[in-house]
Amino acid sequence: MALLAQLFDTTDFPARWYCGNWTELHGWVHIISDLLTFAAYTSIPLVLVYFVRKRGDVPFPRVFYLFCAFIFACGTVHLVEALIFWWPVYRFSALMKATTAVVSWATVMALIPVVPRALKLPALQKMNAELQHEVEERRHVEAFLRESESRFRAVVNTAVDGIVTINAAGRIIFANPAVEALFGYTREQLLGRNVNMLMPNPDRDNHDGYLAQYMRTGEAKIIGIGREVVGRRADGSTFPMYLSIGEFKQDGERFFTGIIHDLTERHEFEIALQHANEELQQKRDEMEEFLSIVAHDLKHPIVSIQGLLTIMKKDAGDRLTEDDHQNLDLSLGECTRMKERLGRLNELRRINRVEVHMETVTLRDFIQRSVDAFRTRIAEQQVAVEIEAPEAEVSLARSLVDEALSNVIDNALSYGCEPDSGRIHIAAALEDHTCTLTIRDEGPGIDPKHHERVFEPFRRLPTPRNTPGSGMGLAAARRLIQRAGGQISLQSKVGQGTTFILEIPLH
Amino acid sequence: MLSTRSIQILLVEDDPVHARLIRRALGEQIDGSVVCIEHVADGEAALEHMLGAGHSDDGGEQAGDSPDLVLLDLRLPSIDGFDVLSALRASDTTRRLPVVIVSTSDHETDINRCYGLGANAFVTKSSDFDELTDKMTQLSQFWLHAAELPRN
Repeated sequence: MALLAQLFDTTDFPARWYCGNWTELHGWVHIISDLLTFAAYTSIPLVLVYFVRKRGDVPFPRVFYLFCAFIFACGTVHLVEALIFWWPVYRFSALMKATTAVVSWATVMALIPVVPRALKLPALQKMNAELQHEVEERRHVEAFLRESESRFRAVVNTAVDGIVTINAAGRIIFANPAVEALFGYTREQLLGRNVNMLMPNPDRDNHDGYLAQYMRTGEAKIIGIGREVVGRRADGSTFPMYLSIGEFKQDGERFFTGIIHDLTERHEFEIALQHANEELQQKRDEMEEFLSIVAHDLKHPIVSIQGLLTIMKKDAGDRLTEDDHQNLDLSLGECTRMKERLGRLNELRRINRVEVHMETVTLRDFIQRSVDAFRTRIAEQQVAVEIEAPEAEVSLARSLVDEALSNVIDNALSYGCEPDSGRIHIAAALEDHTCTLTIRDEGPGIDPKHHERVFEPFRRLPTPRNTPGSGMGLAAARRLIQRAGGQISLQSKVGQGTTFILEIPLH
Repeated sequence: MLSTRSIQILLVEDDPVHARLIRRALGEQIDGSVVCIEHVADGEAALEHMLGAGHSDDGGEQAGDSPDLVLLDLRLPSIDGFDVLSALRASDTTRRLPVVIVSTSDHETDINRCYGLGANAFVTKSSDFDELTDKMTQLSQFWLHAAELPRN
């Protein structure tokens, strides 16, 4: 108490107004300035404290409070300076100045280590700009996400195929509208229910087991694979469907999405196709029967007639006129012609019945052998035959293709070469599961309007030299190649030779 | 001496015109022997002729007449030529009997099947009459001689 009294004891000093020669103005400038400074120095800490309190995120708040104390201390020194003009508490003033000095140095000490850290703080403006940018960006991303989401939703909602997502427990967590249409349930009836409601038995009872099995072993029977299964509608009816299932993880939980494609229409189509096929097969059998009757049963009487005519001719001898003999010869000739035609019909029939055997051959050797069968004719006609084929081993319907190729070579020798010169180029190319054979001659060529007709049975086109032929070679070739599952076509123009193209499936 | 010999030929042919033609093709004599042709029109009758009634040869039943040569058509009513051939080859009395198939067929499968069943020759009727005559005569001669060779 004595200390405090001594602190404010003014007996040893005169008031400042009476110490020295103050003019009125000079004194009041000191007093008012000190008071104003005090007011300001008191306001600043108040504002600062308010700011720090309100913001909450101001960096280095302790330094801020030191600042406040230091400024406030400075303020009190100014207040005391003003008061001293009337109330000379110099001891108190000294204490305040000392306190201010200590607080100031404390602030300095606190500030020094903070400065390097404070320097790293981004400028507020920059910070603001970045913040703005970030906000902008976020808005874009959100818009993009919204758009993407709505697009995704549109795809899923308009998809013809059903899309169902289930969780690891087999509960439906999502189903698109197609699922409702396919199965006859509403979304509300589906969500949260076990997906086995969409299956007939035995899958219905076993599905939980399948799922558990998969979760335990990771052994996929359908997941990631997809296969044909049967779906069960709300009314209990079933339908064939193709189900493919994908798996995904979200937040550590496993989900499965199934895509369901209704196969009802395809099955109906397949059945219709099968019926059509059976009908076709029946027609084929009838045709076969007809061909058989024509080929065999008509041959019988022709053989008889020809035999009887021969005997008649022998027995009649001189009793017949020259004219009679001529007529008999013509009749016999007609019989021969008819027999030949029946023979060709039989040939077609044979091709249609021949069995398809796959054999492995070396492509080049295979072609060479077919060509070699014509060695004598090639030599006689002085035809140059070039073969361009890989040594590759292929599996094809050897006997069918061999016969077809022979017929085409025969055709090329007969119609694509002169009797004493010519060139035939045979090439083979392999591509995927097909072997393409091209047989090119340099003969007179075939008018495009006849291109299809050359493959018709008994069709013979007018040729420059009236080369004899059965009119069956190419028809047989086409049937043989078709029997082997391939096709034959030709490219030709008058005067530019002919190229036959045989496309043969490999196995 | 030879002129007194006669050759028994059984012709199995359902078409009367073909039968007539084959008769004519064979002529009346082969190697100076008189040709006697017995003609039946179906397989049933042929088997009856050669193997006897019921054509089972397992009970010492009366065996039929064994001809020197059989000319057999393939497509026959009731029992067809293939079955007749099999039956002949299955029976001891006719196992070595020369059988020449005379058919309108020239199918490889038919021909192979006949040889497989034990036919001695196969003649296709579709060839012209003169050729048929030559073939019939040649084959008949060959198989008649072959049948006379010692059998071991």
